[in-house]
Amino acid sequence: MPDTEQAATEEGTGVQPRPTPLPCDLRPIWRLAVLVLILNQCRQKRATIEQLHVMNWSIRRRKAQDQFLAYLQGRKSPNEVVVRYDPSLTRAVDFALAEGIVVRYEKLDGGDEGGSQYRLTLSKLGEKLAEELMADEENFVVEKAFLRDIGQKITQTQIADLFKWRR
Amino acid sequence: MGIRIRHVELLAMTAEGPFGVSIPFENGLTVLSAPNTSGKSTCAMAILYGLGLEGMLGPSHVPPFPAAMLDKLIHDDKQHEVVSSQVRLEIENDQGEFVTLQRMVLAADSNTRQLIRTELGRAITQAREYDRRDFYVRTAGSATTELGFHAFLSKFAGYDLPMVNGADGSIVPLYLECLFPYFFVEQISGWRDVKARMPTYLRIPEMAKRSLEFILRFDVLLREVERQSLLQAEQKLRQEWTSEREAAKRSFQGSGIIIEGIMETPEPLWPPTPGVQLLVTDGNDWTPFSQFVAGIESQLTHIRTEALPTAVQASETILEDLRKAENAQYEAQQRFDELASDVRAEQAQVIAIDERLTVLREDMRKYQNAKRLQVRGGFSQMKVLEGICPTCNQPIKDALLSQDRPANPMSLEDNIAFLHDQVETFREMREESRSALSAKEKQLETMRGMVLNHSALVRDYKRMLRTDAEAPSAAAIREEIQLEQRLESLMEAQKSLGDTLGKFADMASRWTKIQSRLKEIVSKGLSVGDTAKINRLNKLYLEQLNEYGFSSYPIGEISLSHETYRASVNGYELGLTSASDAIRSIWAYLLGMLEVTRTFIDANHIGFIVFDEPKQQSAADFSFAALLKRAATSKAKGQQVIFSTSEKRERLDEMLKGLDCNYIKFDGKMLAPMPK
Repeated sequence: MPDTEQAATEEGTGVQPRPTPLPCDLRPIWRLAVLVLILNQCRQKRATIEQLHVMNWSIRRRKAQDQFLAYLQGRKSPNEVVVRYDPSLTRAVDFALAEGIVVRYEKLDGGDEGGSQYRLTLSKLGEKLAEELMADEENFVVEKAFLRDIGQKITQTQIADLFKWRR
Repeated sequence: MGIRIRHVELLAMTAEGPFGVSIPFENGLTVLSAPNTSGKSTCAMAILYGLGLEGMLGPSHVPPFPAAMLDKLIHDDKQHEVVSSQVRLEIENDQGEFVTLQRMVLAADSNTRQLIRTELGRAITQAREYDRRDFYVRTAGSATTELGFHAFLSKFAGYDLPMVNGADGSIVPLYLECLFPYFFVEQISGWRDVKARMPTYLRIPEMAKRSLEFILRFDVLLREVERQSLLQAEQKLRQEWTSEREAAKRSFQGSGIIIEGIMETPEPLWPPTPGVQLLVTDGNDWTPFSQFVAGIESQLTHIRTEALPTAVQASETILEDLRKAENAQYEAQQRFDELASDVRAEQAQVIAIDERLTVLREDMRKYQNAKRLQVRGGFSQMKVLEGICPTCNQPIKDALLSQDRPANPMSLEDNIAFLHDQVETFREMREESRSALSAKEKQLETMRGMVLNHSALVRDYKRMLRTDAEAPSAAAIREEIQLEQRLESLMEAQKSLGDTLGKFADMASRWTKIQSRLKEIVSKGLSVGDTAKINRLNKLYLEQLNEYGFSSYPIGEISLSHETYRASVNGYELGLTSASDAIRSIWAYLLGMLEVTRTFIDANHIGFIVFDEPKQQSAADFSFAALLKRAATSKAKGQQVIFSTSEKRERLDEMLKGLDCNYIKFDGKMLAPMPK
């Protein structure tokens, strides 16, 4: 018995670190799909990075979805809703640009941080992917339902208010 | 079985008066000859629409008609605004009963399209007063409820539609819309593929297969239907078992009893080993039921055989007893507090596990969504999926984390398997936590009783120090009463256990029956009769391919699969053929199905086929004549084959020469002014 145990342990000390599980929302494919869904829902299929941060934060967890909806319906004030800036979104957007799913639509005036103040939009490929996602009724059911609930009613002011109070 | 079309009437109201057409149909071959864009497809479509079956083509509720029925019609180069329009059908069943159906196409209120008015008689050809009934189509319940037109039509046709599994686990009827692709070939989409075009939006798994099995009345379908209903019964019994088990556990709440030994899922062997038993707690330990009862009984006997001590007899020991009782009360209180804090901790644990499970399940769902994208569609082409950076083409890890971190993410499959294990583990933990919680709650309840009993005793002793010397000791009486009450509640619990066990014995025997029947069914495939039918269809199909000049593959290599019932070439499904061979194959297959039912009269074929000629496909390309000849044989069998075609008149005359058929010719637009 001890022999085999030892053998197993030695075998385990290979070069590759052991594969680790990850939350799915850190997987590029899942995030790219959700990014496409979000942009597809936005007015004229365009959004700023800031908008994307808010949508991305809210769509990832059930609790956040509820909070965000509560905010939009005026049941919660901006300072009750803590939106997290998520560095992995920046990577997801970089990937999406590189894969040709989204493109920069226009540069925004008065962007204080410079580079990130673009409005993004879906490319032809992105629109095709969006169509594909919407056609498969059994996939991304929760996310689609959430986006449907929000509709296109969010205003720039509502987004800005979410960040303003902590500046 | 089935119905026959006897008369079709189209009517469009304009300001200049009614326009329309009225066409009689007989048994056997009917050829509707009219030039292109004259409205012959409209006429074929009227049959489908009149039967409320245009849902076979897709979920749309827009009537499948051209402008002439919906907007403007052209007559003698003049446009006429259509105000309203309708379709009427006269149909007959095997019993010689007639009904006339009327359905609006264009109406002020589009909801009236969901209404089919029926007259129980030949209202078009022998107009007089018949009984009338109104039914609904294209709306929930139209196949199942009393007022549903398809429920009525099924009954009229002699159908008993089987209940089959829907995609979401529900049980639904095999809708008429699923059968009609085998009876009606629509001009545009009907000829696109050699296999029948099914209304997949109705979400019935293996719809094409099930429908064919029903039409040819295969035993395998009846068995499949039985299997589905058994599986459903199994599922229900499983739920019943779980809820009875929960109920059994709950039924002893507050009496300090738990039930042990009922398995989580149904057991065919009942009673199980080790057996079901009750355990009773005194607030500290758990004792088997009979042992606990024996203990109480012996205490009671002891008290009853001793003469009740009077207060004065007791007084010497009262102070001592009071001290003991106070100690016991204190200890019970201590134990009670401990238990209460345990219960709170266990409750927190259950909540924490529940939250963890929610997160795991959410993640699992996301992974399953991601997995779906990985398999096919546009996302499967992404570079990041292959582990290559789309910007710099360097290998990257499958994570939106900083790429410098040493973590090596699992593959999606492994991660899903990992989550699956986690969910299982946490589910088990929750189950354990819940039963621990429930046991603790019972101990707590019992201990609460003990605390009260002890404080009552303390009060009694204190009172006795002050009372009449000759009165019987209140403490002794109270003890006897308490023991009697406990015994009584235990006996009640035992009685209810008897009832519970009876229920489980009944469920176990039902479970056994379901399991053994399921085993019997699963082992069988096509029955002897089914095989004879599919072989017959195979023979008729190949015979016709030959007659019609099918040439994409050697006919000797083609046969119908016993698995899918579709044509296959050397074991592979018959896929791409030339467009004209696809048409030949559809003719041969559908006509073959109609002909099979001449030998096997128990089949459920509707008894007619409508072929709306494919557009832009001249009949000159293939042997139309051979087909017409073959279709004409339907007359002797009391069946109908209806063709609409724009083939040149001379050629058609030539082909139909000597054939016994119903030849209906139109030279211009079919919709023409009608006498008022």
